[in-house]
Amino acid sequence: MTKKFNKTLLIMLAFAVGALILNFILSKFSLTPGALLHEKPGRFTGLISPYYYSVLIIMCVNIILSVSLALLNGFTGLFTMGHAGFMAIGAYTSASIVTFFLPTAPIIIQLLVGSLCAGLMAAVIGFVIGISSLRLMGDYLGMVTLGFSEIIRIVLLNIDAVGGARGMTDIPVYLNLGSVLLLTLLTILVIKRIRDGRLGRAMLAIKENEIAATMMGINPLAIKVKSFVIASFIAGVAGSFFAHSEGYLSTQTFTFVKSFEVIAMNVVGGLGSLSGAILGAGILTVLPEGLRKVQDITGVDLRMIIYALTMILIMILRPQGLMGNREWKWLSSK
Amino acid sequence: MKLILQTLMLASIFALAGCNSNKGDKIMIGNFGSLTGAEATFGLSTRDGIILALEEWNKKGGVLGKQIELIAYDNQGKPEEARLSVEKLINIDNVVAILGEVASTRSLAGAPVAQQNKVPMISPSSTNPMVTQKGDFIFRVCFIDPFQGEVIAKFAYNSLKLRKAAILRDSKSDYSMGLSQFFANTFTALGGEIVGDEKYASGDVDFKAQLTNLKSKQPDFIYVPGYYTEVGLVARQAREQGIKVPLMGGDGWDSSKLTEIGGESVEGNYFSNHYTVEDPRPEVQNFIKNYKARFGTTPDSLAALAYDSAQVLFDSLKRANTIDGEKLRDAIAATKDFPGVTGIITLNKERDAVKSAVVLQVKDGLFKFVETINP
Amino acid sequence: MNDFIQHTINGLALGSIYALVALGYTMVFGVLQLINFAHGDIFMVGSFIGLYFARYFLGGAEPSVLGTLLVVGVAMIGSAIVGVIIEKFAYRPLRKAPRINILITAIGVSLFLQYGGQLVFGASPQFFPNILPRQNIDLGGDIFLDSNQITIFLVSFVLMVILQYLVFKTQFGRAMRAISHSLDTANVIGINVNKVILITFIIGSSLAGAAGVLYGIAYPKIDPLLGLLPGLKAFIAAVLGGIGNITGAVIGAVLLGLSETYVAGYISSTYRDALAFVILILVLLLRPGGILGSKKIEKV
Repeated sequence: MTKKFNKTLLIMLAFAVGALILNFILSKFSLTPGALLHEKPGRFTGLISPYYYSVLIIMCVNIILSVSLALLNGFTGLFTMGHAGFMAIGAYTSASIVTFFLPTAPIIIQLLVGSLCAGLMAAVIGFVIGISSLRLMGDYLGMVTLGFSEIIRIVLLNIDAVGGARGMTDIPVYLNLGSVLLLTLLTILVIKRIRDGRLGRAMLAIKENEIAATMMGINPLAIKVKSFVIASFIAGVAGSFFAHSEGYLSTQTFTFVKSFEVIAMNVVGGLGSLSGAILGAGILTVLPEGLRKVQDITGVDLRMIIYALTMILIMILRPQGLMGNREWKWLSSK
Repeated sequence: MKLILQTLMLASIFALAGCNSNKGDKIMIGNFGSLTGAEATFGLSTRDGIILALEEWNKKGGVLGKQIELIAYDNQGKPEEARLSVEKLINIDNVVAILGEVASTRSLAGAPVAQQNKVPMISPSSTNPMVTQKGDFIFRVCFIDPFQGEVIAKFAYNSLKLRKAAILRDSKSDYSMGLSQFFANTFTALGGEIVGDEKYASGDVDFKAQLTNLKSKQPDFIYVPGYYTEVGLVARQAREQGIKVPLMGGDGWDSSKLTEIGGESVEGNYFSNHYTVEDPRPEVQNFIKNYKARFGTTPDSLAALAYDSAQVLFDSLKRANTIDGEKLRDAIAATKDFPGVTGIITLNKERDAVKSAVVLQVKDGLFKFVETINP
Repeated sequence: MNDFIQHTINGLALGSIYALVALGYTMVFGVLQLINFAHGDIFMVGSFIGLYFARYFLGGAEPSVLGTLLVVGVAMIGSAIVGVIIEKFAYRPLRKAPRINILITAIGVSLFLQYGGQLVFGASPQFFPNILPRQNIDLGGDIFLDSNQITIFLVSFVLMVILQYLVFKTQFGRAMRAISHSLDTANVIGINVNKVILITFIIGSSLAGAAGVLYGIAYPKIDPLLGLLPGLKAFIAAVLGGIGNITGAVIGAVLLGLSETYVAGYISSTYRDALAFVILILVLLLRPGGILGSKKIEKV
């Protein structure tokens, strides 16, 4: 590990602690679900109803997924369709470890151990997949990653210990909005740092012109693998957040359609833009939820149609996405 | 700035998404079910059964002096949606109690939310024992699978004198996995033999490989405790592969669509169920008459159980004389000798109902009564 | 041994259906270098067109061979129309765009067809009416051949022969092959590229539509999300045989159908889908050209 990673790790830990302090403060204002953390009898009487609450948490998870894919897709130019697989690995790893080995441990241990193991497992598998596949280009890389993602899902489907086809229930829910928001912010900042650093510049060079980058002394495969591993790690962590905010996991959630959804978030926001990835995730999470009322009346899942139409229209009418290549002020590289 | 615009947009979408209307003058009850998807008839029958009961009570003045209103959500057959539906019912629609679900997997997804929020939930037809173990606010008005597993086992062994069984179960359904296990336990305890055991997942359409394997083991019958959509296809493909022995199953078969999907191949097969339209008791015949008049079709056991679950809920509300969650829970738990369409309902310590089951046979496109098995 | 023969028969039937869909994939990839994700959903649309036509126009008529051919024909025409619309409005505007863009559009079209299908056809599964007179044929030794399977073999075979003739013996076929070598050169020498591509889509889509009806006959339960997995598998079959190669698509499809059935029969049915993806990965990593393709690694 390079010195840069060590520093980043320290910052991460600092943020984690900060998240828990914030969590504690927020709990005083009833911004947490009733679950394990704080027993809240009867109806939820806090500031935000749990329904919106859940949506906000889902949005944060999507943002984390989206920015990690942006690292691969927008910044390194690697078109992958297997992100859901790493999310699945992270989700099931964290859920298994916390449910089977740490059910009574203090929350912070559960959070740290769960997320770390989730990310590491995803990163390891990402490394294996990366080494074998990243020589491929374009569509082929996409198809191979899709294949791996599906294999991962089917293998998980067949492991009875994590519920198999019926899904895994009773996962301790220890995450609340406060901590997730902070961790999302943390992720965004980490990726910004990567993008602005040496690794990020190498990734961009490869994306622009791989041969020229090789001439400059960059080892394209090494950079691609690094990018892939980092992205997988983060996707795994996102998966663990998902698991511990839902309390329930089903392999149906992690099909290649999920990978497509994350790609859509990138595309809508603008490939190559970090702010775009966040924006895309925000829009594509909130818009369908906002349309739930319409869905209940018509009985139709308009959400996916929205996704689909958005993808098509953006590609035809505004292929650079909503943000194009631009960034918000606070995320732009100086 | 763009950021402010975007935040406003997000906020307005949220505002659109949830207007919480005050329904102080009505008793709100919730229902979540699979109104679409592969088990759509379950959800639709359940909802209609509840509506029938609700309308009957409203005609007599409602309960606690107020009219009853139902909010029904479709979970499309997905467990995640089931959980979300329950969350919405409790937190946005403020229901006093929830009726649902049919499929045990989805009941298991929604029950923890109800339990956590101390909202009573009565499942009309989930038979997997784990459902009521989720907490003391979770009830059911049907029998459970440890008993249902015995039914076909005893019927096949004692009445049909069959000795070798093969099993084809649905790995995606807690109901199917549990029920097949209970069946196997009873059948072997009686002296029978399980010669083959294969799995499929709901959603599959091709069962030929599994059926070929089971065929070679030469069973006397094949136990297929799954849901009607797959069972219909399994029956077809079994006949196409030349399997002539009968198929048997559980209450997941009960749907008008079974004969539509399976056609002739389901003829002659047997399954265990909660009630039969041939039951001569006046409650049953009246129910069937009213249901037919209201909805135009003969009610299946899902509708009957839903009707009973709603009746039990309204009766408990009356006895509790309040919508308070804990008092309502106690009233439901105290349900004793309630005359339901599907039998006399008494809830035991585990909040399950102890009732008899019937064995039905598919004949000429209808489900004909064969015999009753008592617990 | 008898089990093996039964599995083989079942696998061949499955493979034939995959073959019809794989042909469309391979042809479109040949001329456009595009993985048309929406192709599997055209297969689904064809199936539904067949279902509605059978339900409303054949009504309660007796199952018959003629009726079946009619349904197949109508489904083929309907699917072709859908294919044309997609090509014209979603793919043609992007013909000069980077490949990633058109791939994402294809994904978007696929999702649109699926969920639009749910809107139009309803999200619950529907059941294909019985349009073909069915008969079980006992081949002895406990092996059964279903007349449906024979129909599937025959129809697929006939369609493939017609296609083979079209591609290798006609002017049009030559134009198609020219375009797959180089679009710009074909343009220069005067081939009406737009027209040829359009016809390619028509052919591919109608084959998928026919496959949809055959599927509905063999597995009478259909729903709008039907095309996802079989579509992907058909694509993998095309890759296995050598993407862009028509004979390869058929070989790949048959191999895939067989191996999938063997896995389901001898190992576990829950792993059957995994096999297709394992094959995909192995082919792409070890021999991207597929069985009949060239050995070199393709670069974009």
